[in-house]
Amino acid sequence: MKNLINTVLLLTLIASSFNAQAVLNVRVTKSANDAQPIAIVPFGWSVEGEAAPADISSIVSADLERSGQFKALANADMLTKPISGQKINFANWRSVNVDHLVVGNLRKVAAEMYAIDVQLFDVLSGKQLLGHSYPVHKKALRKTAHHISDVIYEKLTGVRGAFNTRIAYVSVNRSKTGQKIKASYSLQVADADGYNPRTVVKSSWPLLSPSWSPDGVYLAYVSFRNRQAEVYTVNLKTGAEQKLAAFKGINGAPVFSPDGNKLAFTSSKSGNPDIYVMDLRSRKQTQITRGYAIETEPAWSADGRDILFTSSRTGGPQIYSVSASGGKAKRVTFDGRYNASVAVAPNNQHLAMVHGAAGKYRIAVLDRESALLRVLSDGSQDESPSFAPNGRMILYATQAMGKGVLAAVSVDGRTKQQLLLTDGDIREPAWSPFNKQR
Amino acid sequence: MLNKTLLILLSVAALSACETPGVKPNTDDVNGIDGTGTTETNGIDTIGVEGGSEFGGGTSTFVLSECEPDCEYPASALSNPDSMLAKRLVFFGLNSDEITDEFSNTLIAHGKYLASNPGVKLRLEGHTDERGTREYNLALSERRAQAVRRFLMLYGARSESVSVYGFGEELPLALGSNDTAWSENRRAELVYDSNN
Repeated sequence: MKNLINTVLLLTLIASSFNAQAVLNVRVTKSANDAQPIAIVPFGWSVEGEAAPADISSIVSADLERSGQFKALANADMLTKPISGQKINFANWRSVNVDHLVVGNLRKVAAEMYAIDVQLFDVLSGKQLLGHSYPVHKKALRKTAHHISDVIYEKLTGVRGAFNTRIAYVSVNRSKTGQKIKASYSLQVADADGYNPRTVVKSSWPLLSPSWSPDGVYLAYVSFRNRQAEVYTVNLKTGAEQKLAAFKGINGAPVFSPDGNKLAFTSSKSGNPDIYVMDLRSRKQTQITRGYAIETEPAWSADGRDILFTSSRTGGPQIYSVSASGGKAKRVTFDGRYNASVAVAPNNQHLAMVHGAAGKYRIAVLDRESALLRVLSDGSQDESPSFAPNGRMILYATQAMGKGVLAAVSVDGRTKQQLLLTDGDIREPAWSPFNKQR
Repeated sequence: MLNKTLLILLSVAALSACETPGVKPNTDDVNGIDGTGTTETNGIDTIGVEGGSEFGGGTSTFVLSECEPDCEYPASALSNPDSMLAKRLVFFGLNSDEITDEFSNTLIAHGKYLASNPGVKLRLEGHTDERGTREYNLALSERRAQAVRRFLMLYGARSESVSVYGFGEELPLALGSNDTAWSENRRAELVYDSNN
């Protein structure tokens, strides 16, 4: 803890045309002091009388900084600003103590069509580590910039990047007319950096618990549109919705299995909340848990063999694990009296959860091998942990300035940031799977 | 265990029969998470109480100020603002679905009203405060409504007259992150069907 520096880095960026009013702030509230120094030189652009359609180098810098593993050199500290590998004087870059250098050029090749050339160098040896040229439609410029971040991140850390991914969340806007408070809920999907938010489902009744299908095409979620909690899916390509579970009682906490063929969810149709697994083709359901306790918040193990869930069978909520076909459950958490809403990392080793202690609810990670539980967040009502598909960061909901915001913390707790979307109360984040095209 | 719980409940009801039960947030609830274990355990004591028939003899051991043991509530009693039936909120302790003594007279009145008026339909809507996870709270809120339903059935409400809904922490009565707002939000609402 001591060897960390707290830096506050405010990048204020204007969001895209999807939602002209949404202004996104990314605030890195804590970053590791051993972050790799890197220089990302502003990309070249040479079309007379036309502004560059995207600031590729800024997008890449912001991505890499958000990981907490890189520290980008300020543009003002660059002695020269080369746009291709031929003109680099590596001594200049060694003198400002950067380990790696990214240079690039944005070219217009046709109406609405561009090309991005990018190269990554090792500053000490002067060796080129990467060199790519991407043809890009105007609409895909940001996406391609995130892809470039992924490629650089993977080259320098050995871990696949998760910048070219999306997040789903629920946004709530409240308006007061007289004594009555009216809320409007929207299920939204945005790029992982909060850009390009778009509303997928809108309702005047609460929406919660979005969960991605492994192919990234569907979201399962809970809606109260019929005055009771019911499970739906929405197809993100077509907008088509389907009602999957609307049994008597509550229906909630939907999660797709890793193979995408099944959905685990909670239903109290038998009289009290239990976990069920639905085969998505036949709609046939299997009851996984039984008994009087509250059993909810299922999460699949990475291999799909087990289901982890919250149970109140010993009093307060604790995490248990059971075979995905049912059977005897094993208790997983033993620290404290409130552990709920588990998320399983892709390595199956780390479990993120909401851990309650002394009246504070925070995000904690349990390392299953060492059985060590580490509290990572410092809010008082942190909720809804969701792993990045590469398992490096955990996205969660927290409160800042009296409203709900999203935050992310690295699994080792060394870096933390807040995503502040200025309109509405933001909650219930879910990080998408990897983008199919690499 | 069950009989003992009920006996205590009934004797408390008898003792407080002369008072007008106030419907107000339970402010002396456990602060912090550490109370969770005990309150949950109390909730579990009422496992399987699905109807009041086996305790039928017990209902005559207390006196309600506005409705004597075997009295019939007229259907119109529901619109009397001075009746105990005008109280439509029950509040709960943190992470608890236990009905505390201060709400028993109100719920006895509603139970007897429903017994006298079998055609009347009642919705019980459970809610929680904002603390803890949303899905767990959804389950807890339904459990609160179920606890109220079981209580009403002990006093003669029919199972088909009373339906149960859980809204979790999603529809707070009071906004704000403080003890007052939290205790107001940990509630079950009795909503009579307007077609009655």
